[in-house]
Amino acid sequence: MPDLTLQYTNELDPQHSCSKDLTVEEDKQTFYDSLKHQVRALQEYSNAFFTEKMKYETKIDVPEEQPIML
Amino acid sequence: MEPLPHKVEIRVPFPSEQDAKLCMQVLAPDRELKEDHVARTLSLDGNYLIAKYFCSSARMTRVTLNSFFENLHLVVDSMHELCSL
Repeated sequence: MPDLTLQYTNELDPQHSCSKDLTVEEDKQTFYDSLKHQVRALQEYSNAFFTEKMKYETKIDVPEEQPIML
Repeated sequence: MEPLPHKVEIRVPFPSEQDAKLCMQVLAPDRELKEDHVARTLSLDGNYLIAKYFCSSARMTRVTLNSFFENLHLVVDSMHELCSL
């Protein structure tokens, strides 16, 4: 069965790496529906995982969104 | 250039090498907005698309991957619709 996978490593903190595998249905009729579902699932996992890691990070290199001033 | 210690590899399966190549060709032209904070490579391994990201922080990694998954979902959805025609 084909897998959608994510592997993460931090060179500065290699002990806290992670790996996530999500199985995609092999049947051609349902493959793309299954892949879309798993892409969303992996996106949710990724957002939750890195949001947690952000709690221990002081570096801010992504500015907060500013409202558009008209 | 910022150091990029956060490394992510995403492997995306497709039904065929042709489909994987098509997806890569659609995603490839869009460059990262903050190229001093994010580096990206796209490649193929059989019918798998391999996306590798190198980011400066966990925050940057989250934002970058979220954008990648949004684009990937859009491309996969479009390919699905076109395949059904």
